Amino acid sequence: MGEPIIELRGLYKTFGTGDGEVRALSDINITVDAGDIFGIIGLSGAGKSTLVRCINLLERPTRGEVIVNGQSMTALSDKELRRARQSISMIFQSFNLLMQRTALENICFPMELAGVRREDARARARELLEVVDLPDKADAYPVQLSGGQKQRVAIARALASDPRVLLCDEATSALDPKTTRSILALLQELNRKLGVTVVVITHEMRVVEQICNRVAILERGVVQETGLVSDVFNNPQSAAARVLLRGAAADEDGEEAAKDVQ
Amino acid sequence: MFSEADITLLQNIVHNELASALWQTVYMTFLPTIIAFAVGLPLGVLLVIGEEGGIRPLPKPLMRTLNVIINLLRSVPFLILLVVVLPVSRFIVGTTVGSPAIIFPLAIAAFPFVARLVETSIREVDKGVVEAAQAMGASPFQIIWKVLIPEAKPALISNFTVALITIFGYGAMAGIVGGGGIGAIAVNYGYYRRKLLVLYLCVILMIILVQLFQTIGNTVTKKTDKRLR
Repeated sequence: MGEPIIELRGLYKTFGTGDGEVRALSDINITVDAGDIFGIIGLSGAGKSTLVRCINLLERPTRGEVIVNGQSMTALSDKELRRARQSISMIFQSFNLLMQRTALENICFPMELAGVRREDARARARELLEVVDLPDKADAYPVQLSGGQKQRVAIARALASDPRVLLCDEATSALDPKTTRSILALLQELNRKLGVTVVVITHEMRVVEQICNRVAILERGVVQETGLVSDVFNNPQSAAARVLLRGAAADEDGEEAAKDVQ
Repeated sequence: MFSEADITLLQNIVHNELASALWQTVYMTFLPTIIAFAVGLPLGVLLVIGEEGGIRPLPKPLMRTLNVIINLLRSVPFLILLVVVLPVSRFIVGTTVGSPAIIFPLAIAAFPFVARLVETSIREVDKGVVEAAQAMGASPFQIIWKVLIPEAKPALISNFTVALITIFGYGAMAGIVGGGGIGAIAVNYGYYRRKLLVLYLCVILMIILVQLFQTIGNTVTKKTDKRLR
């Protein structure tokens, strides 16, 4: 694939000090190439959310290097960091839309931050609503939208700054299976059409299976295994990968059983 | 039950003093509330963003000093604070008697309370939304103006109403030390001269005013809040 766009080198993150010290991440080494849809999977408490927040420095790593778009993020000043963040977008499990703004105004938000002219921003926001397939929801407030629609608005907002990287923190975990599939399909389409590199944090194997080309398996703050999704799925090397795959198989059985009952 | 003299007095007050007293009460309530918000809003925002883990952490000694000052001012009962601060009014307005003299003491008594109200309103803003703004590269200043204050707006308006009604009560009490307005009429006629009829009129007017403030406040809050649709 393309050249590396995100490189994590010898990353450590500890919270607290002294006796209360908790090590969330240990010696993380991950390279994401431009154009990848990279999955980071692990059970809750594995450190996935901390890891993804180290990429845009919402969390500052205790040790190690974070290189995004060729820039060493930890070396940037506050102002340079804010600038760098404009090309690394992020979407969240809880959508995190501004509740007092309409869908259109939410999408305008990152453009306002960047100083884009109001009319230009609104025109671009309307285009983005088309991209996420919500052209008629411009004037709706978040409270009037369903979970899937809110995430689509959040994705449109994330695209407004023309990012090179899109970080997804459990972006589908609050959604039902059908909506999850449609949101994942949208992410895949954006990856193909716009060439946005996507990093997906999830605890569901199905998510990785549906859209990722590469995956890292995280357990207790340590990367257990990285590789092509097909390799990891067909021939898991680590115990953690096997546990996650077994869990996914059990889920599928459960869904089959549920279908049978219906 | 009431003598003819009582009723004549009431009529005289209604004719000669009431309109002016009502007007004084209204500006004695609104002006200090506005001044208290002008000081309390930035202070309340500062209390949230400046703390450890806030969006723009400030030196701990500064934050501690701010908190101590606010708590100190809030521990002094209003009437006592009023007496302590009245000399300031002589300095600013030139007099310690009448409604204008009461405005500054009222504002000084109210701004720490308002700062705490603003603090709670701002704290209610979803941390995830603030994090999203940070992830988009928003500066602390942009987060304050484009996220914290707009998202907290309904709570801020609702708390403006709370402050307004509290300050209205303070203003009525100020009638005892020479303030003006309906409170002064209630104190001068109702308390010192035992004219109960006048006192009742004042109480009824105050109830109506508070109801009015609260109803308007509630309506504006509801209209503003886009989460209620």
